[in-house]
Amino acid sequence: MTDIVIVGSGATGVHFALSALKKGHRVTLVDVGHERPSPVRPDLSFSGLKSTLEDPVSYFLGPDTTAVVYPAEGAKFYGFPPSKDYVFAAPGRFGVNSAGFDPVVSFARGGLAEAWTGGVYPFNDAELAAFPFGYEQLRAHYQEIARRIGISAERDDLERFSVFDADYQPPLRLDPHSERLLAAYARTRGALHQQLGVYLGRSRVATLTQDLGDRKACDYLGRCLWGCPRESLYAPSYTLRDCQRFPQFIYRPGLLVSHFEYDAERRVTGLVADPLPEGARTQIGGDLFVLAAGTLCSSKLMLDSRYQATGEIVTLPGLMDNQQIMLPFLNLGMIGQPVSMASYQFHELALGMTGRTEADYVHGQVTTLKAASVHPIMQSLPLDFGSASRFVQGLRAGLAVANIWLPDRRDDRNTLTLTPAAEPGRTRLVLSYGTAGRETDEVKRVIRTMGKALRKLGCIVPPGMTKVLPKGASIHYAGTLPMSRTPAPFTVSPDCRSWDYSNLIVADGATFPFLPAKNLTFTLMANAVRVADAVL
Amino acid sequence: MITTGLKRECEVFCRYLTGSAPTDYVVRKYLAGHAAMPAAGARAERLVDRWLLVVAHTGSPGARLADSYARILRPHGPLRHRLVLLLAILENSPGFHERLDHATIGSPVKILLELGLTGIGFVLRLVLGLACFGPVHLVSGATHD
Repeated sequence: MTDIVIVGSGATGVHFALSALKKGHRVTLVDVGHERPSPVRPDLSFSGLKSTLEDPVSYFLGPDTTAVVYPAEGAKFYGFPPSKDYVFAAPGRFGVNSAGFDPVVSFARGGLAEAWTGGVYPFNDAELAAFPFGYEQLRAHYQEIARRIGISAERDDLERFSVFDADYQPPLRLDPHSERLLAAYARTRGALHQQLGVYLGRSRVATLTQDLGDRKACDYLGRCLWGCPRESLYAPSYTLRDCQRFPQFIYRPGLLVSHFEYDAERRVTGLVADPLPEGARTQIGGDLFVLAAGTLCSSKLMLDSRYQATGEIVTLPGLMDNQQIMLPFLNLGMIGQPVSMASYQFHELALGMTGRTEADYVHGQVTTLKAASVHPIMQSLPLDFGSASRFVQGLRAGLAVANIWLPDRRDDRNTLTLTPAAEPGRTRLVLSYGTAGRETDEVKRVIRTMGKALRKLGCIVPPGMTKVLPKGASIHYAGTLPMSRTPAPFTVSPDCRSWDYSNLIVADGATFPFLPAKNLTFTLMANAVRVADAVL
Repeated sequence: MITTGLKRECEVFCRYLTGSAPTDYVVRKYLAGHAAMPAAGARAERLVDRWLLVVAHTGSPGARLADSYARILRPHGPLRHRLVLLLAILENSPGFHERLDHATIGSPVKILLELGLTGIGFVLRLVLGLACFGPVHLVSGATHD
């Protein structure tokens, strides 16, 4: 039995932990662990909350109305609600300087995937070409994750890009707008494939259509963004709860890990952590240490550990994030149709677009407008609010947004490093995305092609409303401690063992040598299970 | 004094956005939200912003005229901030959210015609707004924030 110490309770950490526990090992999971608030009135729909709660504005906008999306350059069409504040709250002592990169980190119990939209697509062999393994080595682990988290999906044209061979639940019920888009696609798919290389299908999502353990099937309350009160949409904190059922599991929240210490043989001897909000430093020992705090925080821990031991500040190249494009559109055929607030709120359809190579596949998710905050949409229209209100009401049933992601490759100009902070012994994370804005030709091609595809589906893309989000906004970070077959400083082996420290595993996205366009969380979880199987 | 002014502002803006007077709950939330909003919304330091607010406070037509101008030429100014705050409150308040979450059902042709007329109305207000606010805007500095 090995004593394993894991840092971070996100998608990677909890699945590594669960695999280790099932093999009989002792696991201590160290975490800041901001907690999700209890669900409010799980029986009520989106509209029901507004009509019934005593103070609905505080629920939807926060006690200080902090969730209002005010006018600003680059303002999005939505904002995160106060019920997700716990996901993005960072300890005051965690500081970041960034240039060309807009980073988001999480110290929540469950990590960033507490606020995801559940898209799950396995990487294929082309997308794994830069990895030291292929799809076959991940297949069983994808299937294991599908069993653990519950995925609803259907076979369709997107199978061309994403293998369909796990035990998926039946797909979610489609809203009328998504149904109409699929029907239009069925009529035009030949032209879309041949002329544009664009494919449409059902989203594969980690949302239940059948009960799974304590979690209930989706009841179409329209509350996905505010936090599913039925736990239909998967969050890593549910797997953490499963881990807590094992007697040999210890969860230690309220600790911010500063660094790890190592001996002359480069074996990690223990973690050094600071209690929050304050308290005496503590040390946590073990046999095997696993960094699963997310790409940015795990990389910072690696650098801080070297800095604390030697005073050396290392710069890690290769930081990646998917370029994200938000492309709002209007389906003319839906104008004048009713809108049901009682629908699944997130994306129900996915788009696939061929790239220059198979690995350059472009991925998209289509979210039709149902239950939503409308003030960010109204203020983005080039109209006064009186007119914007009429436009949104008149066009509401036909409004939707396609979120599109491009792949990213490691580049030496995109770096992660440290700088000493004002407080003695502490550091700030420094991120620099030197190639920001250099993908304009590909971005333009994707916007143009997707616009043409949407027009073939009977939609129009309003000019001037497409947003190319800054790097960092997609929150798909990777690449700073990549897998490498040959030993090299600040890289890991194909089994994600650090080449620098013999009993250290880096289990999260920092180890990915390439970032496909698909949401990486499914692969993060599958890879964590793969690594646990390989090293334990 | 400030509170009285904000209550009056809330009432005028609520009538402009929904056609109805605000409830006590909406007024309370607007006052609290105003205290917490970014400085860009809370303080009208530029002459053009003060003038936009003066006209907007006169009633729904004035508010719409000022809003039409502000949307294009002062999109990040205090007037737009305050209207966004109230709109966000209204869309989450009993008695108002149904109106803002409502979708118009009917003939697409009729809806598009109505929206066309709404758009023309906006352009006309914008032209009128240029005459009303443009000179003050030029005097007060940059033409776009």
